[in-house]
Amino acid sequence: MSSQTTTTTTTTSSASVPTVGASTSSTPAQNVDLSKHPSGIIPTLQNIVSTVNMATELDLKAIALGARNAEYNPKRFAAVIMRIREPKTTALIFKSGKMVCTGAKSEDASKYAARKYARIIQKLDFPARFTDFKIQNIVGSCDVKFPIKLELLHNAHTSFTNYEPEIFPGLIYKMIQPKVVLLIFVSGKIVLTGAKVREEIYEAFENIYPVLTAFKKNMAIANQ
Amino acid sequence: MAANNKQNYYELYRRSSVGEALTDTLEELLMNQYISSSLYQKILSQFDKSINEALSNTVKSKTTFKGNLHTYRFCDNVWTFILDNASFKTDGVEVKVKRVKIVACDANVQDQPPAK
Amino acid sequence: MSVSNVYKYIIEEVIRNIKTELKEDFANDGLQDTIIDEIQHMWEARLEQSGAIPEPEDKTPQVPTTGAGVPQNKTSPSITSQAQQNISATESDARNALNSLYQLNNGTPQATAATTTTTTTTTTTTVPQQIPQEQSNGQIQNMPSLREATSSAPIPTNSSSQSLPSSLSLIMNPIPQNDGTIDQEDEDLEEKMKNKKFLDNLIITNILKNKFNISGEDDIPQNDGNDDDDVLDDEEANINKVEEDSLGSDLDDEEDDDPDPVIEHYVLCQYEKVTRIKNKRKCIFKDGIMHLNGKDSLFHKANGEVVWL
Repeated sequence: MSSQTTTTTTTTSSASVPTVGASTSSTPAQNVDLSKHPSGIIPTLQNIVSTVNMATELDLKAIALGARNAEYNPKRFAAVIMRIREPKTTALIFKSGKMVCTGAKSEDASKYAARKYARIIQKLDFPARFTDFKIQNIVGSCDVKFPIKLELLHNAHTSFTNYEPEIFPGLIYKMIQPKVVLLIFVSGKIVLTGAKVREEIYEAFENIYPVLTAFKKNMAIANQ
Repeated sequence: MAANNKQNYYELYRRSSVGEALTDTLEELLMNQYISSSLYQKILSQFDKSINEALSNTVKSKTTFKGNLHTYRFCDNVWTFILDNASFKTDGVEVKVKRVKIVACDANVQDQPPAK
Repeated sequence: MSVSNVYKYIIEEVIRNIKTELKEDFANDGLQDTIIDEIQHMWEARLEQSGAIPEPEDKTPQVPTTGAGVPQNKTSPSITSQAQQNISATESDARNALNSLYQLNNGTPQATAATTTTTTTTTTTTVPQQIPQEQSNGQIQNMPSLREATSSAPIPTNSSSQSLPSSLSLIMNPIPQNDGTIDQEDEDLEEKMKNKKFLDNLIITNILKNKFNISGEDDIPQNDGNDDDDVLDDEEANINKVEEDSLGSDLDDEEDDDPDPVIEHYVLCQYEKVTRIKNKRKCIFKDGIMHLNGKDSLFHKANGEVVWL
């Protein structure tokens, strides 16, 4: 039947040189692998949160004084907040030697950034190592390009959804498999979060897409 | 409120032209043992007090500035910024510099600790 | 109030307070009140010499300058003549001050010229900060011209040097200079040399030049492989490598250059608020002293927006 279109978007980025700053493109139509993304839409990764254990106790004040672009206000938060420009990320560095790295647009970029932070710590004369690196959360977003009847969707899926437009304009959909939370907006824009691997984002979206189409808002008189 | 002689004022203004002029003078006298170390400290503390008060009471001008933030740091409640290609405008007069270091202590402390 | 007036006010305040509150301390130290006046003189002299106080005339047709604060052509004659006046004022002030100090110490007035140069050279050698070091260099370079100016004063003989602290005696009896006092052939340059700020900038640019030649910026070729981790030499470690990545110098950014290079322009102030949205920071400062392009200015309040890119 239809010939397989070659996948141009990398799913698991296993390239040795991390494509820093390159996120999966949001769907140039002819390049989407429809076997993986039947909807024809691929969510764009927006934020990766990862953690790593540098396996050594740290002197946060020394780090704040020695490193650039660091903030340390122990009265407010017991960690050093450090930033680097490339990959554009923020790190929370704790006294235990554990670190959280946020803001990267891909898993590889997150790991690369985390290594850079660990390297900075190492250069400040701490025996920092790079152990137990783990991606903790992946956030993606996309646009289905049609408006959605949130109220009806909510009524049809009450056990999975929260919709209180006075509190928050988006519908909150808690999918069980995969375990991903989706924010669905009237505009057709979708946010997906809670994934540990990017496939979960893709899977969650493919799961919701038919539901979204079912509740597409028509300009014509709505069907009862 | 703490009595005047017990209150500590920020020492950062010692790094200014007027501060360094005094520090240099006093250091020379101290090195030649014309004044004691305790007197040296007391005079400088008096300077801290006078300049802090003078700046908040006698100066009225307002400045606006912009630039690229090359580096920042926040530690011990002191902000340090290094700006690139910065421009400072005071009372209509603009001054541009390629690189400037800004050191700022916390203004929101009633009884100021002896931070540099 | 202008910068000059504010500084005058500060100096007067401090001196006034010293005279009242620290009177006892001075007495305890066995010092007379006159030394307080000496302190004031020396302080004012140094401040004048630094050239940091802007002239009222300079303020309006302000030519925005970038980079090093070398005075613009149209203002330099006034600055150098001012500097000259300042230096002769400085000399006599400092001379008088030092004379009285030595009187207190030794009971005999020392010769003036060498005395002056002595104190200026010994002053700043121990101060660790950037700007005073430049001052000391500037003042050492001033020595030849000072000696020229005060040619009438005799150089002290050996007998008088015995009563001085040993650290000073060497400087009091300097090695006689036989090659002429002026190092520069250019007379214009000699005028400029008397301007401390010009010297400071010369020194700064030279330091920066040398810094770039000596360290940091040049890439030392690394021939021993990327990984700094010694553990990798172990075979065992190689097996574990899958779980733990090494942190080599390949992770270093170019901009991790020498920390805190010499920065000429500075602002000392207090922050009321610093906020951030994404990469833009908004700052609200107060009570600040700015030192830009060699000149001081003050603000009561400052607002700024800076972008971190």
